[in-house]
Amino acid sequence: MSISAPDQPALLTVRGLSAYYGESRALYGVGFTVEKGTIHSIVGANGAGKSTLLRAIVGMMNRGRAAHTAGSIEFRGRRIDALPTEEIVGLGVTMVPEGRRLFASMSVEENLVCGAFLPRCRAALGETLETVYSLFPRLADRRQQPVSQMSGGEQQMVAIGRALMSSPELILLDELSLGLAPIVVDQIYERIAAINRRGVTCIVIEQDTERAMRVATAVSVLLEGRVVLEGDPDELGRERVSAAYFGLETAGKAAGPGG
Amino acid sequence: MNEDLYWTFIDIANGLLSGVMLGGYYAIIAIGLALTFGVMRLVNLAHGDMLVLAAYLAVLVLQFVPISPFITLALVIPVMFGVGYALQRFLLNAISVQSMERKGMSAGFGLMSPILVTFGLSIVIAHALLGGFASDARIIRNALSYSAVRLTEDLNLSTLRLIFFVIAVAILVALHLFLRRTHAGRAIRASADDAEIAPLMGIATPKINALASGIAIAIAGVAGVMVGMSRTFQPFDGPVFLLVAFGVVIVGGLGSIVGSLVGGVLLGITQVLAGTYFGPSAQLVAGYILILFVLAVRPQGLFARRR
Amino acid sequence: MLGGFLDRWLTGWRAKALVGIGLVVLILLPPVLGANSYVTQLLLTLFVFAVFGHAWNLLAGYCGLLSFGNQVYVGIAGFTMGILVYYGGVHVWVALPIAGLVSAAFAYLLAIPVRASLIGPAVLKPVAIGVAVWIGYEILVFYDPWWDVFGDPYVRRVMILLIIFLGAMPLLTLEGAYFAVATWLIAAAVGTVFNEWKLVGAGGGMRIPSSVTLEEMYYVGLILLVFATWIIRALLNSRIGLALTAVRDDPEAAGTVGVDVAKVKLLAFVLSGGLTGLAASLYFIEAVSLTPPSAFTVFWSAYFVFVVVAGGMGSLSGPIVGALIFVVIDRLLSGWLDQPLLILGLASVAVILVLPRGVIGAVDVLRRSRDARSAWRDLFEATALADLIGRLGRRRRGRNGNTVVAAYLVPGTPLPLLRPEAPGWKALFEGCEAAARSLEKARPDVLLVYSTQWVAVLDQLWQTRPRVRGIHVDENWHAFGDLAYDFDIDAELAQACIDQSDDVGVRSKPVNYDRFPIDTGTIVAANLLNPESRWPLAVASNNLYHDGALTGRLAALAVQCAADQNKRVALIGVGGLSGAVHRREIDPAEDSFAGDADDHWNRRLLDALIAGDAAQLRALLPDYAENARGDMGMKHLEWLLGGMGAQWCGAYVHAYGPVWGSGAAVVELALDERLARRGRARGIPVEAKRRLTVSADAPDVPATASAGRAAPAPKPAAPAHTAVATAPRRASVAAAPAAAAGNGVLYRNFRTQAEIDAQYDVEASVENFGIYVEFFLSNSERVRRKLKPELDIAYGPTAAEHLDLYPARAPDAPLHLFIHGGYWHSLSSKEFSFVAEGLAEAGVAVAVLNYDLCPNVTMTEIVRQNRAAVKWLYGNARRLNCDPDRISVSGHSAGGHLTAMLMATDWAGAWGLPRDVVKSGCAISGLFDLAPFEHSWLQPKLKLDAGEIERNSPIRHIPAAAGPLIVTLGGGESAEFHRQSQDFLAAWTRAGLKGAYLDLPGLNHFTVLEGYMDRRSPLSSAILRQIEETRGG
Repeated sequence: MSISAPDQPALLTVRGLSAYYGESRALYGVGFTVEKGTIHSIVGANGAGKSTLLRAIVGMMNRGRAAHTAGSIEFRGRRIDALPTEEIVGLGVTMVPEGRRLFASMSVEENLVCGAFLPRCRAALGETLETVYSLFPRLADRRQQPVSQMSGGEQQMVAIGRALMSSPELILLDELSLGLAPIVVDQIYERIAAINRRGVTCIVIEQDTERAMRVATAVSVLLEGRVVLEGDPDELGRERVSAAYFGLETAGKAAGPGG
Repeated sequence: MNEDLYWTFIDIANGLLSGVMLGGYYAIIAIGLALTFGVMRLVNLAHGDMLVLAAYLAVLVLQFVPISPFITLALVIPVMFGVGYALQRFLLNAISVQSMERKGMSAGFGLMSPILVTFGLSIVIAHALLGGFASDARIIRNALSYSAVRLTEDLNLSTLRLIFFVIAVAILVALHLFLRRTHAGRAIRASADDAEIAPLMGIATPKINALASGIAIAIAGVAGVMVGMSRTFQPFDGPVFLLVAFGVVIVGGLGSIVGSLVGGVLLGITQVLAGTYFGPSAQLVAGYILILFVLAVRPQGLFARRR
Repeated sequence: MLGGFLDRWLTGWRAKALVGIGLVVLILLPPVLGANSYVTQLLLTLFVFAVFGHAWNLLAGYCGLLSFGNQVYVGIAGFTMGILVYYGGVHVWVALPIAGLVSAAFAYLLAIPVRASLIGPAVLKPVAIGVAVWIGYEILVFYDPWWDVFGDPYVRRVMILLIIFLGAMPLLTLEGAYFAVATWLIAAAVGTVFNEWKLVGAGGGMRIPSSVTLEEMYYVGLILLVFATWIIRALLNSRIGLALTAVRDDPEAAGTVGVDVAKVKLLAFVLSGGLTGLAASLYFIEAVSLTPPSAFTVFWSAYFVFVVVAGGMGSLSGPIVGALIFVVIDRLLSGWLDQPLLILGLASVAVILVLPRGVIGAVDVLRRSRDARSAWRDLFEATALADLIGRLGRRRRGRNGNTVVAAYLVPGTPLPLLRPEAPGWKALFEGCEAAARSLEKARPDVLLVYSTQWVAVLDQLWQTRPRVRGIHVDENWHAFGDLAYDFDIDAELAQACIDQSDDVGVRSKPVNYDRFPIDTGTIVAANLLNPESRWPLAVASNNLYHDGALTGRLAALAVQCAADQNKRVALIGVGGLSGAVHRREIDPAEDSFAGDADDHWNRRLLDALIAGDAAQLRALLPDYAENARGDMGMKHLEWLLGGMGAQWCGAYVHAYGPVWGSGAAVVELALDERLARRGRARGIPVEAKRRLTVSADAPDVPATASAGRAAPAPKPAAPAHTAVATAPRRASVAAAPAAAAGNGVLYRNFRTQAEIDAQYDVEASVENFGIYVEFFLSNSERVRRKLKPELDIAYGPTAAEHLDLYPARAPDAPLHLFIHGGYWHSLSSKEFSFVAEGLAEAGVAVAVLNYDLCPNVTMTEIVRQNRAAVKWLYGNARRLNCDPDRISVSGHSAGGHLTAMLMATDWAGAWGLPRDVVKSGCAISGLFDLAPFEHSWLQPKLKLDAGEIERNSPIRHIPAAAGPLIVTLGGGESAEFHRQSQDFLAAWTRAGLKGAYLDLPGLNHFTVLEGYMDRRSPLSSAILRQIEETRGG
């Protein structure tokens, strides 16, 4: 549990978060905090509950008996675990979903403009559009192209751009590298760093621990629905993270005071 | 050109012309359903009864205020928008696939429940109208109903049908622009494309669906008044219009609003030709066979994108 | 498959019985009701629509194919009937099956090209054949118009083309809304063509003349329904049935598993068509006339949809229930309102909104809910309204302010968890389950647990290991098995408590070791209340140097820390009530409180908790801790009280009872008035047998005064509250009659009445007489509830001469008569019902006698009444299902005296009964010489005189021959009681009669009777042995 600056509360605090799909349980009392301006990466094998965690944060797990959560999620000190997704996005949290999920019937620009549906974003629509195009120049010259006819990398850029259009304070990125060539993934992560430098806090979900450690300022390792290791990547070191990743090490919270 | 060849040509021309005009009329009826069925994948079996409801509404207004039927639209459109908005917001959202899943029901039931509820609704509306207006056939009196436009001395068009066609095209263009250019329009298309991700854009899907349903039923209101002006109608005519609307949407293609016009025209022409050569009642049967044919060959319709 | 309550319930013998009865009733109904009764008419409609429902349900409920076109079969079957009967002159009952087959054929026609696409080769071939046939037919008609069945060239062409097209169309490749619309279109098309077809009367329609009676139609309808239900049930249970459900749930997956999806759909489609046709034919026979518009109208589909959805889609019994509802609405209600279809429309909309699973599904939801209250909530949640209100609710539902959302006191002993089935501990286990359910409703974020068994000495310890799991073996109860555990710890909250514990002057330390030994209490509470570890725990240790008050302050601190972290808390106090434990091996079924007054003190504590009165509870705790040796001074209760603070206002006792002698309870502390009220209404639920046995081995339990009260006995402080006011009994006998014997001796060596009273006044001989009365009454009431006796059977003319018979299960059971005590002047049969328990369990019928009392009657009359009872029992034994030759007797105190009198009766002489009618007897704490009572406090009531004493003292009438006699009494009874028994037994054996003394050490005049409640107790087994030995008679 990283030591939070004493005065203002952490940007995002998750406490005792459990998630259920119908009867089966995906998360067991997950807890962690994300500081403003950092890149927090969550690493874990397939099915460890990473996507479930992000979906819970943006309120996509409040679906009655089909999927529900317990525990608390606080954004800037205010509990958001009961709010519907659109209200959470209104507060400044958004997500780039797994598999990009662009609006197939629309062009690049239409997808991006869709991202700015919220009243508060419409005023600065032109301006945010230009910043996105500056971040992703390749999209600038393909504005009217239907997204269904674009490469995986380009679609990922549109998806990220679309999320940025709602000028969020916290952006959740789910499996960016899925199905993309390594060089393309490098470009994208380089863009993420740029976005972070503009003051947008990021939570990145990644199966590739190597890449996750390089880009993140804090890492949490998820194993079978539980946070088994957390802390600063450099401090922890690659061996401990991959050991925890595979469930070999059952060390307590590294940073917490030993018993 | 000898005489009979000329006359067969005239017959065919007249047939085509009236088929096209009938197509416009059918298109208006179908556009509302194309929006809800095409955009929201929601089958509204009470769509036909909405038309009849609007027609009776116009009749009611005309009883008190003797104005031209077209003016009644000023009242019919907002009222029907309200009906459509409320229908979706308080009834159909409650039984959508998502809300059924919330209660642990299977997705299969979620698909079926709107069909069953709107089926019940159509019966309710029909009988409520029966109770309110008795079952005698009505028609909205207007000056234009018998006038015609003469293209050549033998080729002529019913004025009313021409106006309907123009209105249909106007509505289509307006709807197209709305869906392309406005935020709300894009939101409707976004939630149609991916209802789960739309909220991530800040779109409250229940409200947007209600908006789309409001627009669809408002257009149905316009169609209702048009129908009321061109033929007699009774409380139980809902299903007749519904079958037409479904036919056009299926022939025209799911979700493609423009497809509705083309579908309508195709259906119109088929029916008119069948009528002239096979007798009056064949007109209906031919229409059904065309729809079934398209259903069998290309369920998603001729103009739809891949489903 | 949607929930089908009747389907599941209708299994096994229950199903066969119910269906059998139902059928018999239905078969016999018409003749009973008379011809043309309206009810028969309604039932016929019900049968028809139930079959319609079955047909539609087969497609929609089981295959997921939503058809809005089944009315096409209604029309086709109807008109086939018309053609066959009107033109062919065929009898209706012959035409009906044919019409069904025609419908099925049409369905087959629609469905044939199940796989091929319309333009594919597989379809063009048959279409070509069809066209060739059509052309041939045209030529034939051209030559000989008689063949033209259609009567109109136009109708002929359209009809044949339509049939060819429908035959070619792959209807079953469509799904969802497309399938629904397609079927609707087909019905509309066929309907339009029929409307032009003159043969069938075109628009005017036709008639089906028939002379069948309502009863015939009724029985055909019944046969149809049974046939339809049977064939669908057979289909579902077969391999094809499973395929059907597979198709409905996931067509693609079903295909991959080798289920021929197309063939299954085809079969269901054809069967659905056929059944609809059959039902329609019967409908039109009754309706007689039909027209194309009425036969092909889409409203038929409305009826089918309503019947199936209202009943319960996808369940076998759904359509039948739905048909019933339909008949009620359509036929009965519509009588008042002129719009039957309007109601139907509203009802079908309402059904989807309110009961999406239909009536059957709703019943299923109710059945599966745990208790009534949550049942209605589950049902409500299943409706769409809940969604609407839920959304509105969510706006208002912030947190309700206070941090503590629930609090529970649960026992720390592992026995209910390890042996939930043991009768004694079952109630406690179920109590914990109920508590777990209410905990789930409280939706806490964390459980704050304090267990008396996690003992610490130096610092206060808090568990901070994120996850603790392992196997634990309890050092005391290892014989009962081990305890697995795996739960999460809210380390953050624990850490906060550690950091801030110095505010209450306590030094706290975290415990964060792998394999740290978790105490039994915490494990039991976690497993019982939080089985799926849904919530993390924060666990505090029980520091021996911390008193109750400090423990309470620690709890308050922990709650405050949780509040700072915005968490909802459930407080869990783990520990027992009274602490005394049995030292010896006991049978769990026979578990009882070890301490004599433990039960009494536990009840006072629970009452104080229920009352929610903090002052009363605070005052009681010291006394309780000392008297009932409360578990660890009840610090776990202090933890709860400290944590709840002012919020506490009562308690709901889920369960209470003894566990190996110690007191245990599952108590939910009430934080709101509603639960407090329910707790007060419920009181203390106890079914377990409550014992008063003074267990010899409990060290400091008050030994009863052995020889008279004078002997000093280490007694606990007399409970100040004893409710039972001891009546002023010993007014000395006003004019004590001159001592019979000389030199001032009243009786034997007793000179004064006080000396005699001291020996015989049993009520004064025990510390707390009230307990025993209460013990007798509550157990008697329980046994009466348990054995359901026949009460107040008269054996004589007067009001008091009656007895209660506790029947034995087996016929010809031995009959045992029990005579109650009460010094001949008090008590009745009702205070002693409990004596029947042990013997009844052993298969002996027990008659508990009631007789008239002094001073109403003389002692002689009491003896006579007892003898009359034996005579009555002997005469009526057969009627009471007992063996008259196996009557035995026992009695307590005055009853012991009367038992002896019965044994000493000359039955052959005065009473005309076999000499040995009383086969055996057992006199408990008996009084065999009445002489002393003339000088006792009882004299004013008994009015004894020399004659009465002589006639009614058994010691003076030892019989020449009699059955075996057992003489017994409590080891703790007074010397005179011992003497009376020993003297009588000596006299009895001296006369050559069989007699034995049964030693019951450590029991007093009242607890001696407990043996009756347990067949294996020394007392009961002695009586049972006696009965067995005298079987030969």
